[in-house]
Amino acid sequence: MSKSNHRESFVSGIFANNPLFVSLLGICPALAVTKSIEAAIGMGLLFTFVLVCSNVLVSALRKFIPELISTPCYIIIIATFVTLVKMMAEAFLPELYSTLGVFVSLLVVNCVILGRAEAFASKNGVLDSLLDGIGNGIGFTLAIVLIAAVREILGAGTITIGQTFTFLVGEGDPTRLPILKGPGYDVSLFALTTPAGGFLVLGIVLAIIAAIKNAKARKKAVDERLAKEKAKAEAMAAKAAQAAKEAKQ
Amino acid sequence: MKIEWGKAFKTGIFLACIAGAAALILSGVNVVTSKKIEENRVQKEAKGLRRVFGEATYGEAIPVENDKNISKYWSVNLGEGKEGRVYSVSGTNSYGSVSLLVGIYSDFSLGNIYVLENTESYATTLQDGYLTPYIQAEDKETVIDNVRCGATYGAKLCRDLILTARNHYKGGNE
Repeated sequence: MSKSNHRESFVSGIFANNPLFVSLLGICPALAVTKSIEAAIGMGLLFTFVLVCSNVLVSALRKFIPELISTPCYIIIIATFVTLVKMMAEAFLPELYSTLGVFVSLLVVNCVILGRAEAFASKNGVLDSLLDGIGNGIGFTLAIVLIAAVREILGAGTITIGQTFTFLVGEGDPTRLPILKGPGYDVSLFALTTPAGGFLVLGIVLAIIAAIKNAKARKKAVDERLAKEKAKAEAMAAKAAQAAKEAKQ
Repeated sequence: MKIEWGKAFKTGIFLACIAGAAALILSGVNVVTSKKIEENRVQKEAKGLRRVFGEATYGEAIPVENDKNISKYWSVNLGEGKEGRVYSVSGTNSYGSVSLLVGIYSDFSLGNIYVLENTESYATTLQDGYLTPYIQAEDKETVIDNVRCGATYGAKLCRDLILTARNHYKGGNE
């Protein structure tokens, strides 16, 4: 595969084919763990690790896995990495583990991970699958962090540091940076921290992305039309000049 | 229908190999992480004890047998002749499980609690709607029954665990 294809494998999952904002996959964790930015970053990291590892292994074994049992094999591979990640998180990032709770285990049935294994890793080489995993992982992480930022800032009115990543504050309590809520004022929108608020934020973000896409498409169409009209005008002018020249002769 | 024994055998062997490899990897990781997980549990318990009654003097943990909710308790000397106990309690319902450290004063009034584990599916709602208000309340008796918080079943479970701890203390169980 060429370098541009490697680049395409990597970039595609971040923007053009973002698993959450374009393919609308993985909505469950995207709504469940996006009440705080820290939890979203944590989930994004675990998700990326599982996706990259499963993509690489599925790709490496793609010629050996019998087609008849490909899906069970993918699920075993994904479940192994999820269990591994769960044990590591429980041991080394216990606060993250307790914050994410059941949603770490639910990565086993995450449709982005299984989907990339089925649709990409089982048909492509290890390097491309690795890049695809990293790209989709970054894309998913950016997407949930964006939703979490909106929900935490507007919904809770503060940004909390050290609640999930306790190593940031050592033995002390988490730090809350007041933004819309502080001593004597509170203009936060509590509803955004509820599950319904999560749907609302996701819907608004999707609407903004669609609006930007539509605006770009419209601009492209207008540019094309203008270029066409300009070319037509130039051709007509050239024709008129030719006719004038002939008439003069 | 004719069974292709060769193909079936190969498929079975392949699945067994993958499952075996997965089991080996996870066993290896478990060896590395289990000790650390236990250390974390002990650390969290020690931190929790300090949160319940502050810098009091804690006795040895006394295990409680034949109780489905209470696993052990610590006798606490709060100074100035005051005493109390901290109970380690846990319970489950259809939505998950909760483990708490519950502080009870020797006059059976309710003390602070510390959440060791909260795996309820409405964990954050339970934390924000019931557990945090309970922890912040000066008079715990006024808030213990405020279970309608959006995670009512989880809150009822926590309330019952707290009351179970108090009843155990009241019962004079040693």
